[in-house]
Amino acid sequence: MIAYFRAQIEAGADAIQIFDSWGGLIAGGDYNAASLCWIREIVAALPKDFPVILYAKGTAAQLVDQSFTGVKVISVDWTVPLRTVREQLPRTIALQGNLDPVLMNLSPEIVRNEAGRLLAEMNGAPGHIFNMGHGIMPQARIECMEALVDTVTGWKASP
Amino acid sequence: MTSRERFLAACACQPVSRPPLWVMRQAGRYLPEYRALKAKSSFLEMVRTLELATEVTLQPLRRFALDAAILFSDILVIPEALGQGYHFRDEGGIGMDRALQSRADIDALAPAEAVPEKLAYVSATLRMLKTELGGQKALLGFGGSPWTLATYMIEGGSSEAS
Repeated sequence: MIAYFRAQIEAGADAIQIFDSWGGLIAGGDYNAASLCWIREIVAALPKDFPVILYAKGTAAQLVDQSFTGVKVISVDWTVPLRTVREQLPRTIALQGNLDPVLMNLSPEIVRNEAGRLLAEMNGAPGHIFNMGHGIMPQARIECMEALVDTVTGWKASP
Repeated sequence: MTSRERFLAACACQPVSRPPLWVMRQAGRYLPEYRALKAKSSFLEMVRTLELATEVTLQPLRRFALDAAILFSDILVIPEALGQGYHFRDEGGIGMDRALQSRADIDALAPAEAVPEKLAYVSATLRMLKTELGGQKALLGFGGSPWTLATYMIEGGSSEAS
């Protein structure tokens, strides 16, 4: 993985996302030995301060431990209020997320409301990359993506 | 401020006027133009072919004002490069061509040093994307964590529970 990521960086990647999609299966006490320690080793072998994003679905209880792996960004799934995670993690760690992807299958109005709510909740706190809490689904509607893009790109922090 | 600058600033926890936006699996089946390409080529061909992978990566950015592009690929290109291929099962889910069941199975995998050369097409795709994006949008690479890759390699694919 180290050689592969180095090759991606050399080829021009601005950031790397590590998907620990099944990290959430691991018993809490084994999570470090089974997964996190290898991620830490990978991040340590990449250029210093290169942005690595870690996405591990279903690991809400492990987010604090993840913030000590050297990654710059933690991608949070949709099950946790992002504001709460913001309060738990060091300010030097950026957060990515975490709209429930199923909303994208519903209506543009719902997407506008929920995306707006998430933006308001974070209120421009530095270190937020807007994303879904998991991949967008095949059933998602184009109108919902349009509503999402309009809402996020048109947003301004309230004074 | 370009999208790329906004994305990198957010990664570094520097203040920006609004958060950068991208969407996991933004190049995917919800897009009619993706389904049109997919009707002509298999997923694996799209991943492995420089022009197709570049095109699919860029499709969502042509339609929506997103701040980042993410390489169109799959985390399972790593086991594939190690000699353990993968496919999509007709009934859904992913199958590995075999499961790793013994120390001998693991020893029979290609050495890790072989990976960058086998995946040279990934670097080529990223280079083409970098040129296409002209420094305006952030470009993301990705890969699976060792644990997550091991779950597929040992189980022999995605399991019922998934």
